[in-house]
Amino acid sequence: MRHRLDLIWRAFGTGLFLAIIGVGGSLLAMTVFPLVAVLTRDPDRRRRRIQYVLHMSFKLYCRAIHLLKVADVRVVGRERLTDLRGTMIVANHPSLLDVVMIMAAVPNVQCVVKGGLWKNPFFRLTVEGAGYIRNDVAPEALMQACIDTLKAGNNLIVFPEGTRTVRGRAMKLHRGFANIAILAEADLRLIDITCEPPLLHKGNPWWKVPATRTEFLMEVGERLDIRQFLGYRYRSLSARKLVGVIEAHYAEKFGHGRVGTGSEAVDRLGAEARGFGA
Amino acid sequence: MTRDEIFATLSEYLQEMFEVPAESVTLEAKLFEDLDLDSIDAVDLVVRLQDLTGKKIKPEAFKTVRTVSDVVDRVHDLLTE
Repeated sequence: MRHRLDLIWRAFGTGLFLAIIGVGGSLLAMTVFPLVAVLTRDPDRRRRRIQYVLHMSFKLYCRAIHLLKVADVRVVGRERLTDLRGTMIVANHPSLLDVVMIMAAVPNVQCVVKGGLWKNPFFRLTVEGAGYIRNDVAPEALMQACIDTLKAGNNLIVFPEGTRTVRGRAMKLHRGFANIAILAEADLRLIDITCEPPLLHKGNPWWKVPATRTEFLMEVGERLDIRQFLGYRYRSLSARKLVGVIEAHYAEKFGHGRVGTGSEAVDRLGAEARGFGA
Repeated sequence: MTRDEIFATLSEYLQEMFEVPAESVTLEAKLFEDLDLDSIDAVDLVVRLQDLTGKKIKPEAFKTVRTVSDVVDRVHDLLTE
């Protein structure tokens, strides 16, 4: 009975918090952000203020999810994310909460967002005011916008898989982000996110919550000094080296996402059957 | 330059710029699928080929390029223009 109540509570809570993002975001966009825009003429200060409001809102949001026991939200190494400047924040992307968790941990950060948001005047005010980069421009223009913002000292979140991580499949990274980091000569900070058992993953409706409470765990990993990748004759080689290092990091960290899953067990049993030790 | 020479030069470029293994470079190899190039690499390659041919290459001329042999053809056309 207790377990059933917990399930119902988490399903309800998951739907509620999804709704809060939509409704809360719209409310902020229609009240707080226009006010900030009117009161702050200077675009730099306006950007910082809007980012700060988003940062605090997301922080509150994550804390509420945790305290209401809809899911556990945990960050390891948060202190490594304060005082970031001109850094590319590279993360895997297993859940819908990833960007929220990162923004809740980093006060001054930008990201690439759907160009469609520019159609709504309120959302436009928010995303443009926050200095976010729209994704519906030519690839060269998008790259340049990312380079410019990093060079200006802003931090930028990227998900190099380009889409949400699929469990049990090796991460295949695009190289665009690596080219941007190299051209901007921006250091990188790696972030590993896990969401176990999975919640809100691709192809699963929100009300189908797992049997036990999900833990969203964000681990802040090492800083990659971009200078170690700049010495190659061609940028294309530098980009490949950088992507290789990050792919190796995730492969080691997540064992291609198969650690503790059925397919890993199958691999292991198969290997043992063929005479290899585990 | 003959087609063979163009192919040899292109093969060299692909190896040194994009770490493509020599044995993968065949006339039929698809740049994006088989050789793992992306659109940024394609732009770099076009720039390099401009230096080789000494001619300005219009991006449109390379829009339809899919395979190594397509690139050889385009470069050959440019040189014989």
